[in-house]
Amino acid sequence: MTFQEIILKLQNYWAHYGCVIWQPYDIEKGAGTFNPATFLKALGPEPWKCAYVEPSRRPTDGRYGENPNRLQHYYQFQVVIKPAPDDSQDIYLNSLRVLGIDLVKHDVRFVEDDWESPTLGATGLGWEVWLDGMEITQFTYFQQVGGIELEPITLELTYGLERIAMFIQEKESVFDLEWVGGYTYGDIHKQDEIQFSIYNFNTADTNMLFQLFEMYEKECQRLLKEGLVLPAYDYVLKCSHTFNMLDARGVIGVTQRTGYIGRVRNLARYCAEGYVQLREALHWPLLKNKPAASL
Amino acid sequence: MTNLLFEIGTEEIPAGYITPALDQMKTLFGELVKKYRLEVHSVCCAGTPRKLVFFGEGLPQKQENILEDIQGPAAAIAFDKAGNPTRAGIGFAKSQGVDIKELQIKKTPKGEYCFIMKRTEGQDTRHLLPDILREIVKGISFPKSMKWKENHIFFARPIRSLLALFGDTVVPVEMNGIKADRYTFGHPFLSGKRITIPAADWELYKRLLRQEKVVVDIDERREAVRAKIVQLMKPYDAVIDDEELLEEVTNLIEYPNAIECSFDKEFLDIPAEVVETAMKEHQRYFPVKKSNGKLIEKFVAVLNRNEDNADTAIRGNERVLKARLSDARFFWKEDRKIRLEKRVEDLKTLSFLEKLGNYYDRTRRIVALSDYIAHTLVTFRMLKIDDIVPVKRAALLCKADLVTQMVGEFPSLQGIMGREYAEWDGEEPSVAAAIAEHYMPRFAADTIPSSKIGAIVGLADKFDTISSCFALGLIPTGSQDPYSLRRHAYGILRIIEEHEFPLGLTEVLSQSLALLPLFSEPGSKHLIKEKTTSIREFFKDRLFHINIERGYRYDLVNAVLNAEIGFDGIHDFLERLKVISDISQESWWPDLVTVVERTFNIGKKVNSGGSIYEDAFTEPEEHILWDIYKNTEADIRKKIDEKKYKEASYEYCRTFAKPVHIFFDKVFVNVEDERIRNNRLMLLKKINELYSSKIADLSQIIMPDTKTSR
Repeated sequence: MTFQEIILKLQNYWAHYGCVIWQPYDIEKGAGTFNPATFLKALGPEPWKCAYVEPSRRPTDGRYGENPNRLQHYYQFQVVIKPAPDDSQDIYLNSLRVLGIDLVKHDVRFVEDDWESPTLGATGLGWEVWLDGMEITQFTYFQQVGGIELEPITLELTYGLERIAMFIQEKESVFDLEWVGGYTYGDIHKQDEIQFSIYNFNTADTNMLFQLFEMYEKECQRLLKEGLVLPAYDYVLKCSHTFNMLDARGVIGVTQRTGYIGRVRNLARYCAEGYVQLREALHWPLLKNKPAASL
Repeated sequence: MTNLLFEIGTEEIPAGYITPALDQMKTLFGELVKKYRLEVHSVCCAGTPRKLVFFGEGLPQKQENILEDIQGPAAAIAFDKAGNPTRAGIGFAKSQGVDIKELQIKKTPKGEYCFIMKRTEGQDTRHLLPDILREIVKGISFPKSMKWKENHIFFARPIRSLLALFGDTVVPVEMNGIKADRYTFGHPFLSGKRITIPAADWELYKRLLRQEKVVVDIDERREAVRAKIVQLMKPYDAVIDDEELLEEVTNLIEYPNAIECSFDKEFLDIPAEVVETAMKEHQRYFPVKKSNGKLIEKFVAVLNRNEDNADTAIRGNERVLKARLSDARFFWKEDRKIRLEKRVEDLKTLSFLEKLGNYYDRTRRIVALSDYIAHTLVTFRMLKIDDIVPVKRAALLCKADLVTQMVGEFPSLQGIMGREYAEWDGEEPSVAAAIAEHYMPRFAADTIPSSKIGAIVGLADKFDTISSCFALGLIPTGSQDPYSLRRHAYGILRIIEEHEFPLGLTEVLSQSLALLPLFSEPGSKHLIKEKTTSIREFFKDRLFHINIERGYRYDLVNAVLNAEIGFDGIHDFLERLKVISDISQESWWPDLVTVVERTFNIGKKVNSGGSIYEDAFTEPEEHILWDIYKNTEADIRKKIDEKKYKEASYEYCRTFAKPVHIFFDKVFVNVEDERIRNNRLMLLKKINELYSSKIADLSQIIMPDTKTSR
């Protein structure tokens, strides 16, 4: 099964389940959780089902394309369901079956993982899902987002697409994955890994990045005052990525680090609070999709 | 008598939560049985990541009835002289819901009163069980709990099913929208079946689950995994050396099995500790080591699976370890490109505690304190002067590995990587070893640094942590000790004890505190003094608790702690405690205690330091006792100075027991004449202080009461 077939199968499976097939959000981010389709939509009582591929950037994970398992840019397949269904594990396991993974043949394990995103003020409990010892998915019941206790609880599934593909295709290196006939993952992304590793670790203009962080933060605060929560949230993402870049350049000390993370978290919290107010003022329009029985 | 079977079916609960949760279920049930006036013959528990199970054998069908006498008003108030009930009498009967005829009159010490015999009928157990089971579920606490639905039950992970049987009847209990029933579930992948349990029968329940590939009994599952691992390791002459890991993996699976896997021999070039950590820390694999301790290119992984298709799991796990080892080898290669010495500067980027700078500042303090300790030990001829240089070198490098990539990835390798990189850099072997050793003891049963260099740097490191935290007011309280200061104090104690370092606590603490940036101002002397006092109190408390845990009698510990000489010399304190505990078994011990106690009690009336005036003696016994004191004092003091505490104690006892006894018999101390009185008191005080100020304040001893022990 090719890399793109895996994506298509997952999309089909979750579309069939009733998910909105969302698209990647067009701002750099460290994980699918940052996409407003997860971060913001997890807030409040409105039901929400959604699935999408998220290109994710982790500048510090770059290895100049030399490590067969580490990338500074990779793909997640993200699923969020609110409220979390009673048969969460079963529907997830079925999605693996759809990918042709024989669960009788392979050792599937749900291994404890207390998930936390300090920049987003988000926490959750769940597992890393292991397939024959390899972590292929993060399975999380969100408890808090933007510092707000959730009610109801959102389920988040984050598939590591490269890892699943390496498992299915039995490849030792991510760059050898077959994306589609004639194209490997390396054909498509190897140069990016080399170039961006050099940029992230050595070349990025740190003065510019420091300035950008300040500018983005100010803009975010200004927009929040104007009640423009959704554009403001874009600037949370920009701040977060800028911080990640500075971190990769090694110019942020440990103490400073905590300070920067705290600043991003504050912005995220205000956006979360603003979003809840915004939806509440609209009387939670998506409540119309709530199954009648549980109303 | 009927049995109760209760199973909470969950999604995978973290391994470390399972046994504590089962213990809580037992305790909670015990309390609830009492609260609900029931009883139970025996209870047992079992569990897997997906089930917490409780079994109670022999519960009664009904709650106990209650018969109680309820006292009402006095008979004279409840009935008039003619014997007719008054309003008060009628009111009391009414309030208790009985007819006035049922009132009985009984004599009490306060006179005659009205009583009602009230009988409360016990309820059927099955009607009480829903509440009991609900209270159990709500009562179990976990290190972290979660919500999973629009309700407010918190649990480690979502509850998905409940099985509750009392005899062969389902207990009608409902929680979080889940109704209890008689179903449990087989292994999710190997069986997938729903199993009907006909009745609360422990053996039957376990057998039916075993048939569906779930070994629910933890001991049974652990021993099955152990047997499998032992079998796989045997051909290599290897054994399981990590019981904690075995316990953990037992609670990661429902079906016990294990597989043998291999990795590329070339990874054995990486230090063995790194390979082992890569296996254990994240993947929970068992390393395979020859009987000489040498790692070989094999590992054992547990499997929640039977043998069929094991090779796919083997290949998968091998691939995962390969990726981790490749990363480790990358770090091993990269890290060695920069000498540890050069990394010391980088420690500036690593912050320690707020206001206390970074690890570079901390390193400088550790160097300075190590230097002080080393010089002190040289003065006592406990350290060769040539060792001061390596001590300072090890102190300088001891934290440098914190900024290596390997320690970033595997924090538990701190110190160990420092040693490896130091060796690679060509540092002295004693320096490299000390870098690894200075973190020891890492836990209660751990060994302490074997080399003096490691011990000195270890002490400096631990003292700096304690001083820093106290300086910032981060003091442990109750069960809260986020910076593990108690563990550090324990480490200091063990090192000083086992290396027999003659260090003075107060002196080391003032040195350590003075190095902190907070106290660098010239006017900080009083602050340092204040902090020294509170850390001393902390150590006193630690010394008390640690020695109680070691099995010393608490009054003996108190006696030695409260001797005027105190515990400032920790090593000396421990020596004295050992001797006192030892001689408390001797036949002459009661005499010794009596001398010290009697002289202490009476001596309280004068301040120490006064002189004895022979011309104020009026009785021969005074002269005798004073002569004895003058003749033996120097010898006893000499023995104490030579730390021959047992000999000193014996001599003191032999010398003073009799004459002091005679003195108290013959001489009335509290005479009118102040000069004569004070002279006598002072003589007794001197005798007391000769012992209690230097060895142990035996007035704190509690002698067994001979009257009660008879």
